[in-house]
Amino acid sequence: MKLKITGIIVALSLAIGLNLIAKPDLDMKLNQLSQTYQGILQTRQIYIDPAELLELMYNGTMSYQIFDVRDDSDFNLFHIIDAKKVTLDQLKDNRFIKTLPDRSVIVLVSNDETKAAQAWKILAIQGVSNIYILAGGINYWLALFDNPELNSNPDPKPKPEGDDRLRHSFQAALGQLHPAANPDYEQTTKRQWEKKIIPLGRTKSKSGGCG
Amino acid sequence: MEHLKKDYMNPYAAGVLLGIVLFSSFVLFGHGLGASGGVAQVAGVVLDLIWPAHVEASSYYISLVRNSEHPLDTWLVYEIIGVVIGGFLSGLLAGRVKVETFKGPGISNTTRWTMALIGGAIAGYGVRIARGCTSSQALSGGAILAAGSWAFMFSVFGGAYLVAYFVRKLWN
Amino acid sequence: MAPFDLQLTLGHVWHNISYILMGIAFGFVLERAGFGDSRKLAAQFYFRDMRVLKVMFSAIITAMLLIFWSESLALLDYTKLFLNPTYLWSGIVGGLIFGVGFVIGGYCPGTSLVSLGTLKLDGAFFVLGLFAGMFLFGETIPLFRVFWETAGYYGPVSLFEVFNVPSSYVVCGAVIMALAMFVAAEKMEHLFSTRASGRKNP
Repeated sequence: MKLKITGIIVALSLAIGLNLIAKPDLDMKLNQLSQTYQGILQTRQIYIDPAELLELMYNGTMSYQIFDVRDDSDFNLFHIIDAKKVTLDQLKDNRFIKTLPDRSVIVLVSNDETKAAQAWKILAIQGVSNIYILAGGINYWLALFDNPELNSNPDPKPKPEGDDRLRHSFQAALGQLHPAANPDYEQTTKRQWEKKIIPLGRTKSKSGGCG
Repeated sequence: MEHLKKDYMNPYAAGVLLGIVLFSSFVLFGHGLGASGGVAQVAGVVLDLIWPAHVEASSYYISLVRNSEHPLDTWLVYEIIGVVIGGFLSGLLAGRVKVETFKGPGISNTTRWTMALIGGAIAGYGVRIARGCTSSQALSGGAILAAGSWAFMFSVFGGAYLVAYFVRKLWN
Repeated sequence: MAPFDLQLTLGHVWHNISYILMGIAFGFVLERAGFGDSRKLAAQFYFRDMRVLKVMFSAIITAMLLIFWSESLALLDYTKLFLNPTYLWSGIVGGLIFGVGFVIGGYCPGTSLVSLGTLKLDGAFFVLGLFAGMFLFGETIPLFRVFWETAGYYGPVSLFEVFNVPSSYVVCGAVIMALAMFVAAEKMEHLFSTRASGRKNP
């Protein structure tokens, strides 16, 4: 009998106690995993070349989404065709995560790479898979695809250490109507680049039950 | 011989132990336990062996056993193999492994076997509709507070209690 | 942070072996609890031996407390766990039907396997019955496929999402409910076993 009373008290204390301790929120979890994530990002394995994104856009066999995490003003000046504007806060919302399709590549875009890397961590910690960052961001994309013949720099490079500001000037806010928003397919073959995207496999982890 | 058999474990203690096993499954595999899914998989494979044309004509069976090269290579099948072994081991240690039939005092063996068959068929039908059984839905889904699993759990008790009176002769 | 991706660390063969081991632990405990015996399982529905309720709910609240406490201590990532998708009407209808089969046959799929492991013939017949029932399902599912796939489908949703409260409230509620049920179960056992035999059950 004593054992039963002890059991009841233990169970109740644990149940009630759960209400009293603070639940780890997203930011706390991000802090915990910051070193691990830094390591992953440093390998550059999830940074894809703009040509790879271009190929993804023309490919048609792999489902993809481009999430542009920049400010409204930058987005309105220029964004890649079919890119969706999302804020970091939106990405932290569990309900938004639930709307994401199961088997789809997600490419995160900022002006350089900083904000996209933050977005990557936020998505990764919530268990989203197949997330990549556009190497060099919009700045690099424009350096490569915006009227290459007239471009002053023949061999542009991504600037990971950049301050994530848009370093390109525009005559008007064309958004995705700008010609560089939808470059020609031949741009994918003009340079050498390394393929990083891993083909979407069967999401085995989804079937955990008897159904 | 009855008194040589060890008593069953205290149900609360057994429950806590089971809860620990269940928790370890979540920690190690990211999901809980299961049983009916494994049985369904084996049933589908057996059907495919004896009547493949029938399997091909049904999208349900195709999704069950024709989706991969090795339809038996799923965690559920390995787990149910373990369940049978585990039951055997525990029974062995407690002197409870014996070919016999458990039944209510008022019925014959044959009646019990027939009822087990019928009950199994009804249960088999039900678990496929519910996409799970007590292991995968009630225990596992229950522990992580899946809404559908709790609804299922109460329905199981409901269905059983509703019919219990009518089949009381089987057990009492 | 748990859960871990064992497939990566163990490789395919050991991954499968670990499932067999988990199954062994599962079957072992079930047999220890007396769940390889259909009489003990059925007794639940005549209030004589409320073992099924006690074991099931003790297991559920133990695992639940372990899971949610681990989550609160940032040791376990709840969002990575498999949350059973809710098919509300399939779950209720299937549950009712399964319950009927449970009390007639005296087992559930897991316990019938345990019974099979200890060479019980009634367990073996139940397993055969399962095959038959599942075959019947395969035959009749085209008739109600749409219902089965869409009726009350809410995706993987938890009770605390449904009621829009913190998970700790639901855990608390579930634990209190389980404890109350245990107290009630003890009372019912006492009532039904003394009434039935005129004296306390041995």
